[in-house]
Amino acid sequence: MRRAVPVLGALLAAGLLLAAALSLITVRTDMADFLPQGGTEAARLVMQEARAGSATGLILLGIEDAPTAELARISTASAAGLRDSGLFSVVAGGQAALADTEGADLFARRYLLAPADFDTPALRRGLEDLLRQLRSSTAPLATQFGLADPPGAFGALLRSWIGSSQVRTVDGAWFAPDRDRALLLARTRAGGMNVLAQEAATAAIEAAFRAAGPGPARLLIAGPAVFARDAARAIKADVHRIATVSTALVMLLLWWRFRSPLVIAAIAAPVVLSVAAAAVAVQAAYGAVHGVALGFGATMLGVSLDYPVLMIGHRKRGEPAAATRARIGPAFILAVVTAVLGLSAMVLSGFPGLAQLGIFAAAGLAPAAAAPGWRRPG
Amino acid sequence: MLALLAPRRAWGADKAADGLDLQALMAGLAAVPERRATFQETRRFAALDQPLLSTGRLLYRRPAYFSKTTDWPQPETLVVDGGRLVLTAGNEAPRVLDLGAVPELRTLVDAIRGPLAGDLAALRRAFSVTAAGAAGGWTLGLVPLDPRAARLLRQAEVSGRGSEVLAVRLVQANGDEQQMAIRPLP
Repeated sequence: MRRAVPVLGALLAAGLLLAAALSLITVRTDMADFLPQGGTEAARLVMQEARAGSATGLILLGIEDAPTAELARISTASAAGLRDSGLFSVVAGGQAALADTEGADLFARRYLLAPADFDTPALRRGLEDLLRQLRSSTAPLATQFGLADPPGAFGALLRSWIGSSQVRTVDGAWFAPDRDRALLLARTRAGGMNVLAQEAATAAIEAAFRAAGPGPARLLIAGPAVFARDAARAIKADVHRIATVSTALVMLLLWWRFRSPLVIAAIAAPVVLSVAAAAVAVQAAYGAVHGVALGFGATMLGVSLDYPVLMIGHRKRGEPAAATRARIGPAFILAVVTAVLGLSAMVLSGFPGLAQLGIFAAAGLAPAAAAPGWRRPG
Repeated sequence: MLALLAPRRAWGADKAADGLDLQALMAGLAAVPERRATFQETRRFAALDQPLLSTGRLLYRRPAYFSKTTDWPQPETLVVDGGRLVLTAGNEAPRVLDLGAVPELRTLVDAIRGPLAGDLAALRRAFSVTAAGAAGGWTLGLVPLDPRAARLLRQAEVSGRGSEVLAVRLVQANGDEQQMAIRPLP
């Protein structure tokens, strides 16, 4: 019992430190941290777009399995709910794909977006074409846009964007061309790789859909943001399962070997302490800790279990702790140093998430090896 | 005050001031299942110093089919069937438009198709409707209720005699106008 006090005290202190560290750090779940940073200017631009570009927050919604008129009603009501949520910068599913102000902006910059010729023959062709349009049924469009744009750059731009898209409209709601499925397009204000914000967006979508009284209709959701969120969910679940299973197996193994809760406590204390130290180190270096680095890092720091196990295992009967330490010390220190060096190589990785994992593991091993492992029960 | 009330009362009774029975006029228009006609169109644009003329043929079939075939000077076919608009200019590929996607275009189409269909209730959902004249020479004034629609159409006037439609005048938001003189074919 006399021996139990320092061991349990150390475990308790380590636990408190870990709790303090976890409340201190900011956990990020942005999956873009596990994408490479890119070596060239072009690669960095592509990565920047993949992380925060306008396409990453796009969410495609489909509503199906109800009569057409009902689908149109649900679609319109859901779109109104999404707009009210304030989480989306764009909610489109009806007539005005291009807001008036956006249309005016594009028109004002038409020659930047679609270069046009202004030499005499080209202008003559443009004006003759404009006259033809004024004679045709599209005259109202020609007066609205054509008169201020004789080369026809704006029209050509819109035609190239529309491409071969064939969306139908029923009662002011977009429908897939080949089946009864109402379509909505939404863009979140938050980046698509920001998993927490995407969870909130998905919750808002589901709430808006339910509030629209869907009856038998079914909601389908897709988009880069949705894939990122699903990937994050899968990773989180994996980390959770691996952590639980490995902790249980290690505890079982240690119990089978030592049959002493006190020894297990003595072994656990440095691991808990190392996770706390690692989390604080990564927070200090990056301003945040990625959830994946935290999860896998904690699992990797399981190797620090070895240190107290080594100490206890190498100790001969009746030998004082200091003597064991002196005997295996040099080899032990070498093992710790190589492990720290090996893991810190990950810091050089092009993936910010992996670099975090390297710092996490290396920063965790050092205190695990240095401190309480040596204060094992006698 | 009286000026505000007067047109409201006139609509309520469906009678214009000089006794045109709007309900009866619409019923008469609705009774014709199919119409064929030739037209001569004059377009005046603020941007051009002379009007553009064209001629062609019209076909209407209850309840929602309408086609305008321009023969001269520039062949073009405009067909509206229900909610679908197909525009074929000369030898180009037909362009298909969904009227549901472009409400202002639907309003423009309904300004012509609505009086031919004779559905007063439908007409009043999209326009403020005024009527003038008598059965022997009437004019329907249509002003779109939706401000978005007003960008393509400020005002439409459809005039005729009995159950015949003889002229359509469309005025755009910028004042450009399009006048169609219609000669019914037997």
